[in-house]
Amino acid sequence: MGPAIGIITVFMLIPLGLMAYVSILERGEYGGVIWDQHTTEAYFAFLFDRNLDGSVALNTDYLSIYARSFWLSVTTTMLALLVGFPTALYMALQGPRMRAFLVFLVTVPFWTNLLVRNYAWILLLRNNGLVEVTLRWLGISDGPIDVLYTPFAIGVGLTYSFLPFMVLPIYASLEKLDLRLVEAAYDLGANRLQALKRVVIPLALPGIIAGSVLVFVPCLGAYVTPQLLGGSKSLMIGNLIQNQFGAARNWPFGSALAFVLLAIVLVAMIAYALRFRRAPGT
Amino acid sequence: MQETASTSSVAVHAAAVSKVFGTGVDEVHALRNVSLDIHENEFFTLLGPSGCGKTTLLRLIAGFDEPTDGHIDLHGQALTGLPPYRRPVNTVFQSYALFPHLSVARNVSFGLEMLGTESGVIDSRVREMLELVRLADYGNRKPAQLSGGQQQRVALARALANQPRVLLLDEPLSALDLKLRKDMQLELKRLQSETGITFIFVTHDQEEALTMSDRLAVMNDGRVLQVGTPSDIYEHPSTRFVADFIGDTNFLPAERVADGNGGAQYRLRDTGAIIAADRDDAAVDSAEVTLAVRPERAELLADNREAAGTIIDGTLGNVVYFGTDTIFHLKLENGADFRVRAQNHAGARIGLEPGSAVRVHIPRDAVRVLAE
Repeated sequence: MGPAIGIITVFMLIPLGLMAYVSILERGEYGGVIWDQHTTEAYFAFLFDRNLDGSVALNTDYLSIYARSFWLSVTTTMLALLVGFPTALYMALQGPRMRAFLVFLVTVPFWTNLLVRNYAWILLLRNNGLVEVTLRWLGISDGPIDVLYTPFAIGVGLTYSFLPFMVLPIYASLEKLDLRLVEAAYDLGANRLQALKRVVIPLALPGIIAGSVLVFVPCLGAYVTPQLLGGSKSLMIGNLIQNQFGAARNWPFGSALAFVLLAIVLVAMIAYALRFRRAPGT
Repeated sequence: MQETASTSSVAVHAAAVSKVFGTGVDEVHALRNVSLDIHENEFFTLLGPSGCGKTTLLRLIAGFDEPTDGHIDLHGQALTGLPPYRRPVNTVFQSYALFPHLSVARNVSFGLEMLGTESGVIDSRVREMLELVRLADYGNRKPAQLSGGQQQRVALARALANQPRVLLLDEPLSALDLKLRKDMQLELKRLQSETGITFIFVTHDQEEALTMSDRLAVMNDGRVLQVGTPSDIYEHPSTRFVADFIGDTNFLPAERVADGNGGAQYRLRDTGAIIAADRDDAAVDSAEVTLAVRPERAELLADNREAAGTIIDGTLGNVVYFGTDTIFHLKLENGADFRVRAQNHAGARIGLEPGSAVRVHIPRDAVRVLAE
């Protein structure tokens, strides 16, 4: 317990506290902050613009980036669930040796750099890329597909990147599933779909929830994938924050953006925890 | 075994059913050419050691596996190709397989919900089922909050709720302790007679099989060795395996020396002792046979008493007192081990000392002649 608290303090609370402090400081002229001048300007700027005449107007630019990030994260989580659940189910139904091999396969993408894997998607998705050539060859489409540098490309890239985080927790809960329960469901008249809905999914719910959280939360803050596959028109929160610390040289605003995100995620998680306080299957 | 000619209608008919798992060197013959008729409203038991194929046969009836050869009919309808959820049979699993995420009541209503039963009907049926298994107040509990015996009863209620024509029970009592098992044996018998449903009960416990069954099939190595009523099988085992598996039996190697009027004479191997047996009891033509004698059918004779049947000399070994009866371990004149079981009508019999010479009386109708 002691060491754990120490580690959390040093590696999480202190940096987080530092960022919180930075978010209420005056920005420095060339980046950095002025340590003794406090202001809430950064949080103000998240929602409002100050016009030249001193009047205040609502600015939805940043809100829309947040909305896009949430929407993309929700979509990605859904896609990952849609692909990940059947994958995990298939894995769990194999023999022990095959299972070990499949778990190994799922983790193989982690062996290469995230950057490299996203560049690979550029090669696949760009006009005249492998996807377009294949579609043309199949006669499904003949024009350029124009999907690279769109939210769609980000969705594909994010789903691909975070899929293992969905598959592995679901697999872990399905692996423990007693297959005799499925037989019992069949025996009582449930067909495959009913058995899946009434027995398998409820019992895999802890894994489904864990996987969804593990995909949704890092998706919100994703940086590399939207940077490479999204181009300049599809900014996500991660890119926006990076901008503030980089080109825009506005550290307090970057910190404030990060804390708004943190607050939203926290509220969402608490709401979720309250809603599912009584975990099923226990 | 006259039942095959009986007119009562057949619930389950297995015709030359074989089941092979795996291929090549891994091939396992779980069932070999099994044919069987199980009648309606019968408490029928599949009895055998583990690996004998009894659970495989049950799974074939339930539809979890398909036979490699042969077919199974349910009330005259072929089950081949029918998935488990379309078969009007329900199973009580060895591990109970209760749904851990559902309450007791929802476990019981599961099957009815799957059948699309009206919710009002479901509610009353669930109540009825829980009353039947004496768990009326436990509907809201989760299975994990119940004892093993209670879980067992929920599994029964759940399987009976769909009103199956045939109920399959896969060693349902094996996880219970002795006292609870005895109670559940009676409970199962009661449920079977109250519901009138055909019960097919799988067990490796011969005592359970004898006390509960209307009829039973003894299985070994994928084959059905004998089908009959408990007394049929106990009194007239058809093979050495059956005689050995059910109850205690003395086996005496012998050869046939003479056929008499309606009976036969057998010479005990390595001695001159002649044992008489009813000839018609022995559907055996070979000269080399095994004579099977239940320990309780033989008796020790007082020094000078004579009796009809065979009398063999022996030496007394251990005497084991069991309360209701006593088992005398002795060596016959040819060195073969032999046990005599005597009821303690008049208190403990401690008159005989180990090592003393005794005479064993084997009545003619106590001898069962086996081919092996």
